[in-house]
Amino acid sequence: MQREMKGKYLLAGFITALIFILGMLLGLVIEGKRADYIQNQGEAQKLDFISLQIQYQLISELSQQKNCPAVSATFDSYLKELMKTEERLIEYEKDATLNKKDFNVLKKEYVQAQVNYWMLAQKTKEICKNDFITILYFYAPTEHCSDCDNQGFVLTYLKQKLQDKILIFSFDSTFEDEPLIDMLIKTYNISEYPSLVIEENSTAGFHDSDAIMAKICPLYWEKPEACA
Amino acid sequence: MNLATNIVIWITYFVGLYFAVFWFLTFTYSGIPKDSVKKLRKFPLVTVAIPAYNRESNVEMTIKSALALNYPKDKLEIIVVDHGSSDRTLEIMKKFKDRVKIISIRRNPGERKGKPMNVALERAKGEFFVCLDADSVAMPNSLMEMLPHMEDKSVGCVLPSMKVYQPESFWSRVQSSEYVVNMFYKRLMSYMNCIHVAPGPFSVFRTETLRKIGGYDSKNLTEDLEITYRLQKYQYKIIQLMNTFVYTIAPKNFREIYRQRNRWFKGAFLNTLRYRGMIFNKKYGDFAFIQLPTVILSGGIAVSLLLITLYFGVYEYLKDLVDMRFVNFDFWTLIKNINFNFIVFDLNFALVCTSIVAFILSATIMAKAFQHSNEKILKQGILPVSFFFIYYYLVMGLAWLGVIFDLAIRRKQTW
Repeated sequence: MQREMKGKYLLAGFITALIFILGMLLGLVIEGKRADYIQNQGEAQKLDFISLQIQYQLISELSQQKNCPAVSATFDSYLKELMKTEERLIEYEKDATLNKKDFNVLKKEYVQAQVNYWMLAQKTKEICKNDFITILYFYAPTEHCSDCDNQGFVLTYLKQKLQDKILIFSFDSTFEDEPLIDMLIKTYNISEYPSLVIEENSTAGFHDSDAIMAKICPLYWEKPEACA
Repeated sequence: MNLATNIVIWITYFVGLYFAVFWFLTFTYSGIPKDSVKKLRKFPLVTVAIPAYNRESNVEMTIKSALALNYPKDKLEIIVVDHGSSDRTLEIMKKFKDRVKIISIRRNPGERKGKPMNVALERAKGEFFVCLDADSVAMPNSLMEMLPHMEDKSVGCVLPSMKVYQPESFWSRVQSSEYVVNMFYKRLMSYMNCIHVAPGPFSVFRTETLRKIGGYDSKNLTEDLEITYRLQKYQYKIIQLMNTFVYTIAPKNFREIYRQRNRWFKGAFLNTLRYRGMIFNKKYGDFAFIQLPTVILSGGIAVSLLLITLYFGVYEYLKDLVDMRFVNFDFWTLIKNINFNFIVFDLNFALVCTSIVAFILSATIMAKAFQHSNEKILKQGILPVSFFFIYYYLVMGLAWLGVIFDLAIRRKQTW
């Protein structure tokens, strides 16, 4: 009877562990698939960026400024996709176990892509006289920066409010694998988080939507409706 | 989420899944054998004790059901004990003074149902002693069906299957499903002789056994559970029947359910601590290895699941709501820009896999429980059944949270 009793408990434990292990193995397989998905998205987005660069070059060399609105709309849409994928990448990287290195490499690529888009955005202002404001947002993980989640929330809201009138580029200040971030931090003398660089002017600490609007509205050539 | 939170979540799922797998295996191994039908060869004297405290609404119904038992009247002794009621309970009892023995006792501070039970036990002349709560209705053939199982001297107690009496409110209907599933589990526990509670409604005991083990604990929150622990300690068998029913009035609203479950869970926890020497003691078999740990762990699991649900289902959304203060509560902009950005890789597959398995096991057990109770699963309506299956664990979690809080602040039990 005791042997039978022990056997029941062990069998239940074995089956439970088996279900758990199967679940975890499935999780690991999916983790690999996630990395592949992000990589594929990244490859496609690289091509999109190259296409944008060529389009803006053509506009500049052939003086085809009439094509600016269409290309700018494409720019904004490609950047949105890039940000969506990067957000997803950050979430996947948090859950990653075996593939953490792969996700780190992908994160590097996305940081570089953001910086590329930021530099291209400055060029389009010259070429197309686009009226938008760029914000570089430097943050740290929640355990080092209690206000960063709130700042991210506000910036997401502002992007929805102002659409293509505002371009926001976010950088994790603790991501040491990409020296570009460190370079930007040094360039703009960033010492606390969250920090915003609004059109070359840096400002530290948390800012709600009103505070940011007060800083960016005067910078537009033509004030958007939201600034009214 | 930090590492400690993740560990708690995974332990909760693992332990919960373990219990689901264990009972599923038990059911697969044992099935649910039909109650063995035995004929009563002789009619011993039986005492039915009805303790009551402020039960003016129901006590008459209970006494009538005892009087209507299909059993020789000269072999049936009914003792009703009023435990210091301040309402008309005693007055109603006196309507039956020619057919039942009425005892009225004072209610001293700290005393609970165990006291009137002991008073009835002292005076009982019956070979068998049946407790019938004053909010319950026994079926006429109950004694004829239950007593034959007491012929085996190693059996200390026989239990009927409990159902909710005339469920009308939403909450009564939810509990109706709960009782069906619980009776199923108790039948499995009976197979393993690890039942932990012989509830008040119509549990049949051997009078001599009750006296031998010392009668009821008069100050215990859950005297029915405590006496069962003692029967287990003395290694008596406890048998759960599936086809003999007793009906009991269930709490009608959330407040009543909370108070009832708070008392039950607190009693279960405190009594399990009291009998902690039995836990994992080989002498007590499955009762020691699965039942007692279940009582201790179920509180932790219930509270964990409640907190997990609150965190993922409520806190995250509440936080966004609170954060709206930073954007002047401009909900319109957020609503206008809602987009569904979901792909299949976003799922936490380890969690999804475990949850699916747990769901399948629970759904199967629930279906089997209704099948064996001969009740249609949707008898009480699709909403109450769905609520029971999907959300009832939150109600239990809340009750357990209340228990932890009450114990932490040493709150005096007033119900």
